[in-house]
Formats: sequence, structure tokens, C-alpha cells
Amino acid sequence: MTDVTQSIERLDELLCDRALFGLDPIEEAELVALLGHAVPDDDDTLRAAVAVDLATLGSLEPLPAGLAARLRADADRVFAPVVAPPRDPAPVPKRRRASSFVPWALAAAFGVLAVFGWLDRFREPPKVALVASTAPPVSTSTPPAPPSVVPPTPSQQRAELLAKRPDAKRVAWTGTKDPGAAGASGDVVWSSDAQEGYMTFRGLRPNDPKVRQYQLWIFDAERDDKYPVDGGVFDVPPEAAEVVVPIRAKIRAGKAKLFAITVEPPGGVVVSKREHIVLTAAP
Amino acid sequence: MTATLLRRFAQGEPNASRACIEAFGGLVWTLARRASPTREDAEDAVQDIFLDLWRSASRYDPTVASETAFVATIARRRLVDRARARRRRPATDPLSSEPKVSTDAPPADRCIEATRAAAALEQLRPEQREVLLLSTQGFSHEEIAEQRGLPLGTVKAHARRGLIRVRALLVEAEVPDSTPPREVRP
Repeated sequence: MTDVTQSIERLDELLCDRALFGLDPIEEAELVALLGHAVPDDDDTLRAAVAVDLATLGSLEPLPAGLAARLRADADRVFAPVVAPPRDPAPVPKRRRASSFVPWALAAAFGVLAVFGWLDRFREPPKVALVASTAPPVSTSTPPAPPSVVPPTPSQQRAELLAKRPDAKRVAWTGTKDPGAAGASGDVVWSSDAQEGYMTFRGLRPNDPKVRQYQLWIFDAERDDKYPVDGGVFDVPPEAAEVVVPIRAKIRAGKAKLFAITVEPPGGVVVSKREHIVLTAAP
Repeated sequence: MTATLLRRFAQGEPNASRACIEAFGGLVWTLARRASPTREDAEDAVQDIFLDLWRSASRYDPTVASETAFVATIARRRLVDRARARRRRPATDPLSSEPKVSTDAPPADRCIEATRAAAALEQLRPEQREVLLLSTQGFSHEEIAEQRGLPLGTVKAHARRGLIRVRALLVEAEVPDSTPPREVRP
């Protein structure tokens, strides 16, 4: 059996296991490595498993009335009419005191690491929510337009995550000595269970995406520090007082122990030289 | 016309979220019930799935899948995640050992994906079909091996080969035209 044949067979095994049972972080990384890119959300194997679900479901049970009411309430809460972006729509839990331990020593150690097997690239920056500075002016001479229902902004999704996920942690960013960190603050909200998170930045320097971009790395206690999870590249637009950026972890980060923001060339990198780490946050 | 329900929702149409709950609630609930150990867990799962649906609705592409299949895909991913998380915790309620699948043909109006998959399942070897159906309900390899008295490796092989065969048959069945998948409300 050739290596190629073995790789294809292993790829099929992982795709099937992913569709039917889910994968652990090591298997996820192996799958991404074999594919050479991020695993699509709706690959043919997953679609086949879904089709089997639908073919064998029998008659549908009616949704219980109480559950339906809760779903409607959830939807109303998530899609509350928006007239102007609120400065901070989140029901904010009491802020955790920032740890006195600044994990800069850990961050500084990044520099000695050589070639990492970071497996994935995902270079389309996520949409960010601009807060405060982009609020439309309120006219006093014309009647206000009726509230419009819009898909949730990252700010609203962040609030929803904090409200819904007991495990969601909110950790303040700590600036490094890098000049790019001057005046930057904010926090990162992350739910390990949901594998979902949002970064909030205030005062982080706007970047020209043609020159440089910010990139998030998630250090996972279940993985070697040489192989942090790529959390995606993003931009900070000019004149944004505050931005909220969804985290796009390419593979599962089971126990995030450190979030680090680096400055990278456009499109981000697979292997960071870790020369410009501007912010870190340690849960 | 309900084929663009998710699109309407993604565009912010008032009341579209309620229409989605009405249209897909029974589907999601039935999927969650089948893959969850308790009713309470199923209810939590349904709420998770709908939150995910609200976030993902804008990605729906009617040329790729029916709305029903799109919703069921989100449900499957969430239910698999929950099953994995459950296995990492001590069990609080034993899983039912009985398969909760229907061997009848799916209702003709469910969606084209279901009809094609039902035909594909008929072409599997019985042992592959049985293990695959158990696998789609949230049972782990180990649980299936124990239930059916099969070696773990055999269970894995049956599940994988069965799904790969279904995948191949579904790809073959797809008509290469631009007609969007036939959409029928569950």
C-alpha cells in the first residue's frame, strides 16, 4: 500500500469518525494536516450522515409547548430590535481581577521556538463589530425609523455567550512591551464547551490590511506550546473606539491557557516568528 | 413559499425566527430526543441548536442543500459535540440500548436528501447498516460493540464503510443541474 493510499484511507476514517462521533483535538489536527486546509462545515461525509439521520427519523414529534416558548424567548433576546448599537449590550458579570501574573515570560519564550507544525490557514478576516464610534447620529427632526430586526452582531453574540454558557470566561488583555500595545485594552471571552469566543479591543492601533494584520493564537493546555491553535486574522478599522472580533479557532482548543495577539504580514502566517506580540490574556 | 425561510430570517424579516421555530422545531426536537439520554438534555440541546441556527442562517445556500438538511447538519454537529462532552463526564442516566430509528421509508415530503439516503441504506450490507444507524444516534463505538457483541475494530469498520458507501451513492444520485434541492417542510 502506498503512502498516498494510506493517507486517503486515513482521511476517510477521520471524516467518517468526525461526522458520526466527533474527533478529539489530536484527531482534528491530523485531519487538518491531511486535508491541507480547514475542515469544511458541510463536507460530503457529514452530509451523508445527515441524510441518514433524515432518512431514519420516522415521524416527527411535536416540539413541546414549553420548549417552543423558551426558543421564542431566546430568539427575542438574541434579536432584540436594534435602533443604535449599544455601547455595551452585554449583561456584564463582575469583572475578574486581572491576574497579577503577566504571562510575558511565556510569551517571550515563544521567540526561541523554531519551526512549528501549525497546520491550518484561514486568512479571511472575520467581520468585526464596531461599537460606539460607529453609532449613527440620531436625528431630532425626523421620526425615528421603526426598529429593524437584524442578525446578531459579534457584540450581541458575545453577550449571548456570557449569558448562556456558565463556563464562558472573561479575561482582560495585558499589554506587552511592544510599542503596538500602548494604550490597548479590552478582554477576551471564551467558552471551552462551545468552542466559541469573542475579543474586545479598545485603543488597539488600526492596521492597514495591505501592510499588516493582527492574528490570534490560543495556547491549549492539552497541546504542546509549539503548536498553538490559530485563532484567525483580523483588522482594526480606523477610528474604531472599540471592536468586537469573533474568535475563529481552526481546531479545538480544549483548555485554553493563554491567548496571544501577534502582528503579522497580510493574510497571517502559519509559523509566527512571535516578534510582535502585543497583547496576551491568561485565563 | 417557504423555501427561503432561512434567507428571510437572515435578512432580518420580522417574525422569521418564529416561523423557523415552527418549521424546524419538530425536526430538531426529534433529532435531539433520539440522540440524548434524557428529556432535559434534549431540551438543552434544542436550545443550543437554535442558537447556532440563528448565527448560521446567513450561510444557507439553497443550491447546496435543502433547508431541512441545513438545519439537520447544524443539529448533528451540536449533538455530536454534546455526546462527546457527555462521555467525558460520569454518566448520570444510562443511554437507551434500543435503536430509535425508523425502518420505514421517510415521508416523501421530508426532503430529497432523506429519500436518496433511504435508497442508499437499502444497498448496504445488513451489518453495516445496523452499525451505521446506531452510530448516527449518538452511540459510541464502544457502546455499539458492547450492545452487539462485536469487536471494536469491526464496529469502526462497519460504521465507516457504511457511511462511505452512502456518501458515494448520494454523490452519484445528485443530478448535475442548477435546480435547487426540493424543499419541503418537515
